[in-house]
Amino acid sequence: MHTLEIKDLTVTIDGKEILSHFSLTIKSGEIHAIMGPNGTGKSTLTKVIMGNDSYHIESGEIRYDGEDIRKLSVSERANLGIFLGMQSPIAIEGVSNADFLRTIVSTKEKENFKLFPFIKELDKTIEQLNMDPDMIHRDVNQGFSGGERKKSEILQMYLLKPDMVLLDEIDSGLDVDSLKIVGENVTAYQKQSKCGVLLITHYRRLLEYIKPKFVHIMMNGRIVQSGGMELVDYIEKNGYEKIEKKQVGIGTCIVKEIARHE
Amino acid sequence: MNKIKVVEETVESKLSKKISFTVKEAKSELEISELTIQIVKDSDLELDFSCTSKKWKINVEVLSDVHSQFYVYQKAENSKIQYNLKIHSNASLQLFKFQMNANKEMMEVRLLGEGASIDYFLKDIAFDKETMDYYIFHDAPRTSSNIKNNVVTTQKGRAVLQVSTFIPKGMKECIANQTNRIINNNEMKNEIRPNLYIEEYDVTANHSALIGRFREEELFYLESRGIDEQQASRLLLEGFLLSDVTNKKMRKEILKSTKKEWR
Repeated sequence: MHTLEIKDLTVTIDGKEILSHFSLTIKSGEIHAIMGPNGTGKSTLTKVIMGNDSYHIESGEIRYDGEDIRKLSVSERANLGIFLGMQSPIAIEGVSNADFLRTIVSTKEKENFKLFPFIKELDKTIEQLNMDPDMIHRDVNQGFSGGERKKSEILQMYLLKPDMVLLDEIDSGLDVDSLKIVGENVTAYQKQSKCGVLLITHYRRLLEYIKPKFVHIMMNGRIVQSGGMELVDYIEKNGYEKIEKKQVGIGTCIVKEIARHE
Repeated sequence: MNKIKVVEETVESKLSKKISFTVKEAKSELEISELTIQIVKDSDLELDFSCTSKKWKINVEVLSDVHSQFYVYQKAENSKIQYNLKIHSNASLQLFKFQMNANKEMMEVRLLGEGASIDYFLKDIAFDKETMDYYIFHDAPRTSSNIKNNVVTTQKGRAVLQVSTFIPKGMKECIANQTNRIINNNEMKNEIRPNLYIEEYDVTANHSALIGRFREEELFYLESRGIDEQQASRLLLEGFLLSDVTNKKMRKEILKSTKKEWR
């Protein structure tokens, strides 16, 4: 059982507040989805959890299994079992997927790394994700379509076997078929590994494949409302504006905080 | 693979009939040795200048309709080499060059006939001052040049890279690309001078220049996969120097050098 705990986190960049007293706890086996308007700090949240030092933590805590991870480097956090599937994965010129994947998996598994089982698992996962087997010889994300980049993130997730998965808009740039494949594969991995998942998304479609138990609405750097899938229905019908303007009580949703603009 | 190895003033070779060469030895200290290579049929050639610190002038001529690949190694300290490359109509030359240490070189490329093209890829680890001065002349219409220089500086290394492309009036439908990048791993001053002297309207020309370090988001991406900063930087460096190079020997040589310098 693993727990990622974010407590009262306030984060700035160049003096501008992006996250404001943000709190959230994710446990193994739980799927959380965060939705919210653009520029509200959703992506920043995932980057700060992962340790991106472009942001400054003003106050608050990030704990993984009780340990304060704020001082840990990005790679140390990854090696604890936290994985971030990025919105815009970077292309790396001159480094083939084969070399890259072998490097990251062998770094994680150290002396337990064995080439043959690695290749076997790689081939199987590439097929499962309906990816072009030749991608393995191409440079990391170089010339990849939006869909290929996102599938490549999920491939890395499968190979690294993380316990806590953060997926930042993993559905953006995906066509209907790829969305289904990505969604079903994330769910399959979650069921098999019992990992905790934090999904950042704008769309309901992804949540039809990866069903979250908890849905949070984020505005102005904090969660303003938490609930279940009924909250997604409400947002689809009414947009975020109404939530910002008035407190709504829908079904079983628990109103945590209302945006300060109210 | 055809091979020419230059050891100080002498030339050792292992060549097929597709390539002919002549050598003019320097008679005095002030004189420059000269190697003239003619590519008669489609072929590849490895040119090794890693064992000479003498001044050399290399003349290469690729005849019409001939396609050739060159793999050049230049790892001696303080080498001074001048290249004159002549490419005739519908001929192409792909030149991959891996160089290290400190070099001073001048290269003149003449695209002499319609359809002539050059693809030039420089992979350079500068340990001391490197000066590269390249001139590319589009002497015929529909010629193409693609010049891609990737330089990494380390220790006392710094680079001055001047690339000048000339397309005179009347040389229609030429394509000229220049990509010049210097990744500096030290605090030394580097320079890129990209020049495009174009007198014709009907051409496609691009250039990009970068002096700096790898981007934070590139390192963040790699580190988020569990590899530390040092390993992530080395991976980016290797990728920077290996990109476009498919030749196994050259890839091996580059990796050997990066592993030695960035353990």
